[in-house]
Amino acid sequence: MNPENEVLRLDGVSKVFFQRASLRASNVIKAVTNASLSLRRGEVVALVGESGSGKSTLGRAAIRITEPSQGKIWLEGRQITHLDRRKLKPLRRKMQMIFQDPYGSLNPKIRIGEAVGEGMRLHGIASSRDVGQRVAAAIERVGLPAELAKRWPSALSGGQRQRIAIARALAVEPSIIVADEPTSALDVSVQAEIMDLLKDLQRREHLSMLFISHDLRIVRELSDRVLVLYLGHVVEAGPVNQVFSSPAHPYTEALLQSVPRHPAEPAKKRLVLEGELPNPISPPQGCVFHPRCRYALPACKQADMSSRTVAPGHLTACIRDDLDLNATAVERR
Amino acid sequence: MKTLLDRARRNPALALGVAIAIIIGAAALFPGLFSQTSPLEIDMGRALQPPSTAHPFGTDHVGRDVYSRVVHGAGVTLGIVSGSLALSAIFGGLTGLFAGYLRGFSDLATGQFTGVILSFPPIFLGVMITGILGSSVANLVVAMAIIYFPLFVRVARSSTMVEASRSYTEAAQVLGAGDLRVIFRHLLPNVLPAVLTQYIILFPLALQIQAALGFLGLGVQPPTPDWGASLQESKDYVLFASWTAIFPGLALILSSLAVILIGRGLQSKN
Repeated sequence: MNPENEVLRLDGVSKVFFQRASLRASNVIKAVTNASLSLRRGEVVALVGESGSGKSTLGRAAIRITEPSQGKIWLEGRQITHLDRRKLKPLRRKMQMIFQDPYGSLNPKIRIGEAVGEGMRLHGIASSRDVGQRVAAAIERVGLPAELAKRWPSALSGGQRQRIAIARALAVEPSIIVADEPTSALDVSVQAEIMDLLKDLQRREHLSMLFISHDLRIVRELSDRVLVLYLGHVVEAGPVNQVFSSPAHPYTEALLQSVPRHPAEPAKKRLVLEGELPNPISPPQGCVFHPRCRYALPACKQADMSSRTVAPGHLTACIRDDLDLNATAVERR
Repeated sequence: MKTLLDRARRNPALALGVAIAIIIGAAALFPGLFSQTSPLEIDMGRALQPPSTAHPFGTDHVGRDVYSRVVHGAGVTLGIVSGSLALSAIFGGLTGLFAGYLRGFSDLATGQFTGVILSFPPIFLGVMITGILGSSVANLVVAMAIIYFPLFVRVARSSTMVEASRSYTEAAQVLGAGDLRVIFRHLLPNVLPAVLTQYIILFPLALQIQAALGFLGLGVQPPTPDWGASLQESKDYVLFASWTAIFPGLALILSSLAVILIGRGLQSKN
């Protein structure tokens, strides 16, 4: 892999949270364990998994909004794992984020124009003289009229707010954008609009994105590679087409089966995952997925979750190499 | 301001509160407009006279005009209350903002400190502080500011915690805003309404405490007109010259009422 083109690299990143259980004891919650990834310029890498799988935590740790407990992070070839806040500050403009909830992510007491211009001012990208013009350009870039700059967030619809949140993130010309389920809080009709905008911006401006989602159809449409997370572990990673057409981990198989299908399609028997996501305070021994896995062997209780390569760039944490897993065609939306 | 008057038009209770507040506020700011008589002029020859056209609220035990004393007392009493509450709101609000945003040790320390203050009954605390610092208007203001400090800290802290958990705070951090910018530019405008509400809620309570401390002879010293102090001076004559107590008392009640009516009126949706 050419390090020149590598925008972001995570190596063995873990994040644990401590939860006060009693006066003396704390529970250790392993939100993310030993996650590694590499993201090249212009590439979109998706993090998928159900709620509580640690995908948001991993996305936040990657840009040090959450401090990782372990592991190393490189941004454009420079290690940023241990930079203090003062040194990290100028790098903030390189790592931006789009949030899930467009109602919470815009400050109700700050006008749209100021919100979009804040990063440019903070990083000295625009002088106070031309910041107005650049704000207008940033708002138009996401397909909204520049006049919105004078409005308050309360005057905007959910879709408009999310466009503004995207404009705010793009205004500082970041090297990488973490998009944390940017469409899941929106109406279905608006979801498509925002997806089209993101896709369009990505193609036109070669954005590098870490795309967090649980909607596999959106992932298929937008991303180049995908990391499947289960209980904080990356269970499978690889090119989207490959992972979706020939999954190498039973959890991926189950996840693919859960995608809603068109009612006209012939009904096939579906695999339904039994049980619930285990409590991350006391994860299962061995492979964390084995209690719910229909292919589990006694050896799975001792498995160590290390990855093995099934094809170039395609990794799985499953110890069984004798499985022929079902792929379910995930249609683009 | 415009919305306040608009809403007053549709809400008679709010209108009443606003009207009383305007009259009392005008008396506090411009007492000369309401009474040309000096509140300090002693004339033993006209002591304890009942209300008349010359002295609409009567005269007190040394012949001073009660009406004039009530009018001039407005500025003194309400000035002390609003001033001490403002001090409390500023320092308590800022403390709560920092504690609620930074959390950790600073939050724990402020929590314990405010807990200590809250463990004393307000009057007792007022007596204690003015007792230590000495009885003067400035010290009374300080004492009352300390009494209400924890209540502003708590409101500001909890409101800050709610706001800080919304993603716009994280968005500001992602953009590279420092702690001070997040606190003052992003959180403060969103926490301010809660602090102002607390100010309105505490105003009538603080007015009572101020009057009680005045009654106990703490803070405002005679002959300065003060509603609480006037009540104290009139206590020996109240049975046969009730006007000396009724009018300063009424002024206290009406001021509290005005603030409560305005607070309630603003809270209701219509």
